[in-house]
Amino acid sequence: MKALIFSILLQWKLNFRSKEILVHFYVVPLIFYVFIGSIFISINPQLTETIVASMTVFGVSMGGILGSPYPLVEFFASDCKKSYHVQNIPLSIQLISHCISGFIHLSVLSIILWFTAPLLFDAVLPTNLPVYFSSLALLILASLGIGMIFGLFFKSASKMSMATQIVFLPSLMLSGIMFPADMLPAVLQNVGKFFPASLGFSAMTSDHFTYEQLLLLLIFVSASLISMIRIRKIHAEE
Amino acid sequence: MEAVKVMSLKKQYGNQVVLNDIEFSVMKGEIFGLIGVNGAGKTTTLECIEGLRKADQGSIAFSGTLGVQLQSSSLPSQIKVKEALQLFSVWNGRSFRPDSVTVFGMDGLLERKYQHLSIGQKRRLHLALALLSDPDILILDEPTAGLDIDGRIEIHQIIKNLKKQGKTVILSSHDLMEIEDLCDRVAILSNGRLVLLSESRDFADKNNRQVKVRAKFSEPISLSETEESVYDSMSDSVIIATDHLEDAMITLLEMAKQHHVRLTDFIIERDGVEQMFLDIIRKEKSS
Repeated sequence: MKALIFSILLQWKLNFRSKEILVHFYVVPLIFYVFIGSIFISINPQLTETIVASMTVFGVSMGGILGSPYPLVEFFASDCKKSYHVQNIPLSIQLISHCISGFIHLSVLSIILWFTAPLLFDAVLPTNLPVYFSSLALLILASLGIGMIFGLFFKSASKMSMATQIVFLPSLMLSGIMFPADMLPAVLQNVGKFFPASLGFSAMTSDHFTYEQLLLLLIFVSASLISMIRIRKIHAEE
Repeated sequence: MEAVKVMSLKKQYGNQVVLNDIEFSVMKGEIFGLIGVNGAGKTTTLECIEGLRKADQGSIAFSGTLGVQLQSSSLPSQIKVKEALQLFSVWNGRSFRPDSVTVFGMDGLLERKYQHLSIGQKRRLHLALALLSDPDILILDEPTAGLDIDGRIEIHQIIKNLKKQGKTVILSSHDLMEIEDLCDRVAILSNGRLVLLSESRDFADKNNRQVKVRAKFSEPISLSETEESVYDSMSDSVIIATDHLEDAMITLLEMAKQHHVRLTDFIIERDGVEQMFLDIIRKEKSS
């Protein structure tokens, strides 16, 4: 347990030193939040009711899907995994500590948005806190889960980076955080429902527990299973 | 007493046989060298011992704990030396003491990130990591590859100290002088087969090896075919191969006297591991 806790804290520190993590977890989401948030609110003042959720969904999706795979590619596509393995450090520990560390970072980002949005934009905070925060936790896990798959299946950071955009960009456009999803054609509305960002936004803006939370949980569990199978395969391939 | 026993090891990648019936033992407290050209099967053999690869057939038995320094190792670029040592210590159930790495010259580098270490510093760090759990057996796969002369000397000294502490070391290297200097016994691999396994330190015992004396005379001499000791001859010089240096010198002086010339220069050459290795590899290729 001591070793696991040490690994998680170390990964958390390493993430802070990583340029890619800082950019995707904090810098871009916060800049986007300040600039785009201001524009959204000035165009449509009614968005004060959803600005916290929409900006949080953006930041979490960006961090989880675009940013979180970088340390995994660096580790699993290099000789790092061999070095850890011969020193009796299970490869799955790297994944677990990465996931927990990512969860903490994205939670910190979400808390920053939660506390600053009312000050900057007169944002209205969600009233049902258990629903909001449980949905947020599940969205973070689902986004990190998708990030884990990208991080484990790509051996090059540049290829991984391109592939993650295939999920991230539609996720952003179809989720309803930029503009109402009901403005989209029916087909795209239906496609959009399967992205974690859509599920998370819908669950976080709801005032009661919804099936979207279950779907987010399902995405995380499936991604974790796929990741563990992948790690076993990487282990066998060594 | 055997520290490692490798029995009938076989490994195949597709149709390519990379290890074919490899069998050797490493005795406790010795430095055992594994040599061979690229692709001979050294790293695969070591990785089977380390547990990184599964052999198709055969078995490996240990007597003691294992520490490993891989041929190609890496760590996350942002990790600091101290953090790496702490991480690997905690996973091996030990607490890290900064003074324990003084011998590796790491004490001044503890706050340095892995990405900012030189090749030599990285090698020393990985060696320090391999020794964190105080293993009985240490596997070093090309520990001095890419190092400058200072780095090599430092690593050699560390390895010699490990032997003094009673550790068993299995060492793979392309540097045959390094093998000759450090190892008690060697195994030569070629095309996945064990082609030589020395049974004692004789391979490196200079007194037991054939000596070649290259001598130069003041004038060219004509040698008779019956002079059996002459290994090779050119116009004004001869090479004599002998087991005893004194005999060779006497022969040369007699030769000079007989042909009324002066002995102007001579060089003594001894067959080393390098020659032994080249002879074996040449023989393998021709067969």
